Amino acid sequence: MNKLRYLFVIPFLLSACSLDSLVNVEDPEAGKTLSEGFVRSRDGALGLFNTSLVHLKSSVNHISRDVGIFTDEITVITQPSGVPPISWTLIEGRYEESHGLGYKGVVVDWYLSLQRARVAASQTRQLANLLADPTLNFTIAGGYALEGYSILMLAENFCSGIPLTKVSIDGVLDYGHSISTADMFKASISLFDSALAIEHDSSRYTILAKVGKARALLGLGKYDEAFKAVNSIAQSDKFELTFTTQVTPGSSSSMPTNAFWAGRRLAGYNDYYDSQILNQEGINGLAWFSDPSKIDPRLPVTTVRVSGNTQFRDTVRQTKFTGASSFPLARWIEGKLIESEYYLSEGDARWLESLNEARRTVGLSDTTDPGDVDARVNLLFRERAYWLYLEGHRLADMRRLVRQYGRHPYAVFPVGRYERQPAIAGMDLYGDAYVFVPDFDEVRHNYKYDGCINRNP
Amino acid sequence: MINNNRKSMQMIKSSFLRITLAAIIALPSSLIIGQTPDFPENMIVSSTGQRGQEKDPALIRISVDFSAVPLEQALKTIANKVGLRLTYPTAGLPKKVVTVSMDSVTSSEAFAKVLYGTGLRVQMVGTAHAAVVDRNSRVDTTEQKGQGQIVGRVIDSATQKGIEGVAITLVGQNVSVLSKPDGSFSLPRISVGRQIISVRLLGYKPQNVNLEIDGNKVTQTTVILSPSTRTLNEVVTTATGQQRRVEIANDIVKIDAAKIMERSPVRSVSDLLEAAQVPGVLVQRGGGDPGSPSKIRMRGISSISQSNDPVLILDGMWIDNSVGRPSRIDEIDPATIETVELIRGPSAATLYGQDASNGVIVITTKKGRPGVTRWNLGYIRDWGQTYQKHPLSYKGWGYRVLSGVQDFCRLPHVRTFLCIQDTVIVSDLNHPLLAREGGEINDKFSIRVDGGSNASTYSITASKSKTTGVRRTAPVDLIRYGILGYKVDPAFTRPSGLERNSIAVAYNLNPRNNLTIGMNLSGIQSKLKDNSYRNDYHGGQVGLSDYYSIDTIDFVANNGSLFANRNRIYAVENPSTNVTAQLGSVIKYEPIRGLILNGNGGIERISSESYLFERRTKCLGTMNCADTAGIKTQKYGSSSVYTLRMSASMHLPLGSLSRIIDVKPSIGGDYKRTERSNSSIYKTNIPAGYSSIVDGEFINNSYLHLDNATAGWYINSTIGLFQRIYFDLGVRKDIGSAIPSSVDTKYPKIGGSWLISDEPFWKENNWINLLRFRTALGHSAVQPSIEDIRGRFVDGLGYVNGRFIPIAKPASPGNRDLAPERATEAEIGFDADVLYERVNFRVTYAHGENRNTIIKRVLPPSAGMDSIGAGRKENIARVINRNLEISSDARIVETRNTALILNYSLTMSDNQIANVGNSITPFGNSDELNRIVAGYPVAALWTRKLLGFSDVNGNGLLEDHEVIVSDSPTYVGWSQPRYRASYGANLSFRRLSFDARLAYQSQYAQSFPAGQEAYAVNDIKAPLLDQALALSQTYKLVSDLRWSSASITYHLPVTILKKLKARSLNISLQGSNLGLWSNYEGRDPGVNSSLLISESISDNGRTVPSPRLYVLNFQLGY
Repeated sequence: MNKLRYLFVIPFLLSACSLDSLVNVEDPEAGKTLSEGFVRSRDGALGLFNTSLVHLKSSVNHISRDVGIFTDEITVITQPSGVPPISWTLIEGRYEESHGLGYKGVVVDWYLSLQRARVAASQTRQLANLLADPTLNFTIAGGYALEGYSILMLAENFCSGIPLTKVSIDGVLDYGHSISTADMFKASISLFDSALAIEHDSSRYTILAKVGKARALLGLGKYDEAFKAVNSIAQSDKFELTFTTQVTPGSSSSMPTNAFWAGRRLAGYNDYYDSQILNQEGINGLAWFSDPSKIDPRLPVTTVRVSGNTQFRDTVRQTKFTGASSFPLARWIEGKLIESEYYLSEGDARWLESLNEARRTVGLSDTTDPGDVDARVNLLFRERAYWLYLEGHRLADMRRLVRQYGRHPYAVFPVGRYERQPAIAGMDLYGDAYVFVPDFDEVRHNYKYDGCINRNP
Repeated sequence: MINNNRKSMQMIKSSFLRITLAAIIALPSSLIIGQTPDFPENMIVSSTGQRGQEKDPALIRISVDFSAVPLEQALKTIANKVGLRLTYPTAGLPKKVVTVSMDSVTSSEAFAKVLYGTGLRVQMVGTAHAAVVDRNSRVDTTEQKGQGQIVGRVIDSATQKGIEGVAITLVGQNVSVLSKPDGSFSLPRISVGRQIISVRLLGYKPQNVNLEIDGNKVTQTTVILSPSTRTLNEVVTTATGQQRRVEIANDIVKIDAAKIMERSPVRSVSDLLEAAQVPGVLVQRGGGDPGSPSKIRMRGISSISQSNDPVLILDGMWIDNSVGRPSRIDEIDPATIETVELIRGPSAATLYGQDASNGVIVITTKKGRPGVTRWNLGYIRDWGQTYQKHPLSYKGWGYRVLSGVQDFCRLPHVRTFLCIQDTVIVSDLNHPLLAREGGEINDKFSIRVDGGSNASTYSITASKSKTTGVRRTAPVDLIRYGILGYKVDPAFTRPSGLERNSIAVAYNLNPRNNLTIGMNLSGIQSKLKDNSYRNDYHGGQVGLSDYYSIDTIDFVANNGSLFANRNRIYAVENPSTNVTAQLGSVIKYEPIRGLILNGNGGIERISSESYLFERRTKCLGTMNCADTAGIKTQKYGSSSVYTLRMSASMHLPLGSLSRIIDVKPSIGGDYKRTERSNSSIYKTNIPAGYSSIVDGEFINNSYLHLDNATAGWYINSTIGLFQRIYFDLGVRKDIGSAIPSSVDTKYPKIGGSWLISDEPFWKENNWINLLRFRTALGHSAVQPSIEDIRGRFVDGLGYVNGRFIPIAKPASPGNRDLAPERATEAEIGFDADVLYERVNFRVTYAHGENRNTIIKRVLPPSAGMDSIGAGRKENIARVINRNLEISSDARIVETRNTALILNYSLTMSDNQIANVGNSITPFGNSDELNRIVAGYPVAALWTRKLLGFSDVNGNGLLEDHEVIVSDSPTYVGWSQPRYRASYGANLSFRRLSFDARLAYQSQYAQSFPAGQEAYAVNDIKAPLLDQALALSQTYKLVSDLRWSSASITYHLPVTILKKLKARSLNISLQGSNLGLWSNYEGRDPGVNSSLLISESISDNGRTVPSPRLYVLNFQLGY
């Protein structure tokens, strides 16, 4: 049996080693363009913060375009190859799901981008707090502001009942359930308040937080609080997202340019939407250029002749945005419009002066009081429409007209048959939908989520 | 007495066999072979202190011719011939005159012959000294005290030549050696007394030989082995070392690479496994291009989101088995392989550690053999050609309703009023002018040299091969480029190819009888070429079928506008180079009798480099190239796998009990570490005339580095009772960097094997000669990756605040609680040799269950991950696999000159996801047709079932609302055949042999061919039923019968070889994939272009199918 002792030597030898240390490895490394240690470093926090900005930019870029399409701001001439005409009916009917055509581009892109911006902003805050680096304080404030703004966008444009899944920097996952529009506004206000409470070295995020908070309060009909949130903003204050037409380094494709660069495409052949502005689109739309000789400086346009093999037509295109134009998220003008709406809600005559003060900044003559309440509201919202043209506000404003001012949806939203669409029996392409709904993947993959609570304006 | 009884029984069996089979097959009984001649045992008594048969005087062959020679002179003559000094007995030699003539006999045989009848024998007492002693006396030597030695030779009953590689084991003492090239062997230091040696080799009937060992003496024996279908006694490699198959409760298959390669074209390990037609092992092809990867699956698919690749072990070392192009397993030169052992299922793989639940492939390479230097030269030439026809391609054209622009106009577009169709183009890629596939040619040269002595052996194998793939630029494109003034680069006329150089060196050192040190070094360089012409418009290969009319073979320019849009046609080079280096060492040490310590370790490193260079300055001459600077992506990757394994196994010395109970405990530990790095550099605007990425602009780097390490240890024991009942018990414990410490990672196994036909109560009969029952139960695992646990971020660039800056995007949140998948398998089966060992069966049923199966739960968009489809892995599913595996070999005819052997195998597979947790059904990604649903298989394929249709508005076109399809997709099938069978026949006549194989598989789902190019998707005139089916169905069940191989081989006779001064010369003409019959309308249902990314077969019929190959194989040995 002496031979058996050999069998026992090896376990003793093995136990002498620190076995756990044998299998200890570093976290996966990626992105050597960032500093060593990647995400859990100052550079990583900055990279994560910038990710939030990039996603927010990508989302508002598309929001501004798609809100324009689904309201009365622009209409589409051509669409991507193989994609049926854009319409509310299409969104409402989940057309892409039942026909398997993969038509998801309209909503999915910016719903995803908003959620990505929100999660990255949230993770940035957590990481900056973990690192305890005072120079990252602006990312904490900014993180709150960007997260709040992302939720604000979801509340303004989507149905009531959007989930906000939480993913911590350490991978803890908490699936989101349906949150009502009102609660979404409240959640964003809370985040904007947190941003405003943080001391940091950049005023840009303070402005974003103030205007964002006011906008959320407007969505709740709290005009007085909204006014208080923005009444300290100076005329030079602004928060903008920057775009470029340069090719992305390391990619053959361009950076996402401002969406309306795509809208000005003349070829319109295959890859992009080609859009134009219509007067009184779907009956209820604004008469954007009823008198082309008097171009409003807030909505510069040009006329372009589009030709195909069999037909041609003149189309009116916006020239407000080019591919490299910055996109404003918060600025003084918006504060003045909120101020006007607050005064109007209070029956204060200063509401008109607020509008005219803004008009004078671009050389427009003063507008006059139309006299009755409805007409005053119409004027206010027309001013908002011109000032904020293609900035992603129009759908929220139309919804507020229904929700807060008692207008009937059929008197606000475009109705009837889609512009230039051939007659299709039984298809009223503008439809009865007034909000966007999340991508079906949200229902499919979020076990806590059953869909919208309601789709009311 | 026992031995005599066995011999008698064998003779009875043999006689019965002759009579019966002769009656059955009407052959003369004299042609039946298989009897064992009565060969003398203990015919010489000598002693030894030497190693090395070539120096042992007792075994030197001599020729003598004595005519009335005195005995002493005869003995002296023999002794002188072999350099022996003889000592005579003090009593002197008897008076005897010797008259005998002997030709080429060993000296021991010669001594025995001349001393016959004298009562004397010759006893070796030193290295060159022998004594003539009384037959019953003992000689006291100083070299070995109390121990004897066995020397002998194993020869083939048919050829009477020595057999190399036979395992000779001292029964009950765990002492074994392998025979040398001439069949000789030596077992030193054997205890005196009665001993039994077991003599076994794959393909031969094993023998146990009883020997009486005298102290201080050499006992010589000659063992004659005859071929057998009975392979239970073959030696197989397990995690704890080498074991006889009869002792193992699992069904382990051992493939003799040389035998397979003699009958089937084999260019890779995948080919080898496919040709071996092992039940339960499936080889799925990725395409017919050189280097296209194959996927190997053993006993189904058990993982949903993790790899289902088996573990690959090469000469004791783990190697990277991730599928790439070419995949690592197919980088191994088959010419260097001795055997491949397939360990299927978790119960067999328990001791192989993490990831072993998908099975283990153990490859053992050829080692050097002692003796004279041997040279082998090989040349193989393949001619290949695809023969499966292309389905016709259709494409609808028209103009957009809104813009009036010309564009594709398929029925989905027409239905949604997007466009109005005016033209349908039909294209036939089978037309010679349009054909994009030509003949494939592969040349392979190989050279192998091996040799050495008993103290050390060496082996060097080198090979060089070059394959030109079947793809080519279509003649019509070449013509068109010529018309346009563009000179086609010759490198693009045959755009795909593979060149490979490899070398493998094995060196074995035996400094002492009880110590073996082995070293392996190998290097492989593969260069893969994958060129194409592309265009800006589609980014795909230029000259797709859509652009050619079947009527005119003219390029269709879309009524003049499309061609203008395709204004840049440029050359794209996409080569890749893999360099694989492996260094391994093995140490086997036996410090004391019965205890074997094994250790091996080494490193495998793969470096890869590839680039994609769109050389846009090479665009067509008549086009505007001013703005077409080149772009290039350069990628580098490396993978390192480190292995360290140690084990100790022992044969417990139980003395006289050892004939009743035989216990072999083992313990061992292993450590594996993998490191993977990938990086890529992307640059644009590479100026005209430049090709280096350095000259480009806008640098972007990406980099990823992943480490993982596992360590484990095990204890195992085989317990044998009465040499016919065996129990196999073991348990393994693992730790790893991707294994949370809270997870139970103990993996037990238990198995039993009962050789019932060796039981005393088993009535000897000639119908069932052997019967063994076996059963096994074991656990194994598949571990997650580090990324799955710790999460992942990816880098990029973003334009923020007016500049490009780095961004870090959350890509996966990770799951810190993720545990390895735990697979359990119960296996039960039997082995039987029947009809005088002419027919054998192996039947196995395996029931596997994979618990904690990891699913990548696709995260909802609200989780904000970087990409659509990003997920988080969770242990929430359970997968069940059931497999019935049957194989059989039958030696229908077996004579001295003729043999006919039939093989058959059958696999029936069933797979089911038992559950996917309680949360979401269907699970899976956003593709509703390829989803994960409880109650259905992994990789199930679904389609919407057509319920009805009616052209209500009578416009001849089915709109969506005129077709009724099921609300949800209906299950069609899964990606693996439910039934597979193979048939083989091998006929040999003298030196000629013929072989043919068929393979059948059925009940697997495949996508409809052509997809977007199908008639019913493109032509508004298509019949309504076709339109309706195109709207509703995506997959269908298919089956196929393939003539997988055929060969004719000729072994040149010795007379010619002598004239050539060659040792061997084999010439073989082989063919593979010679025919295909299937209900699939596409080209080849057996190829799957999406092999690398999915378990599901989804092929649109455009993938290059496996070509038909004709192979000339020429092997010359010196």
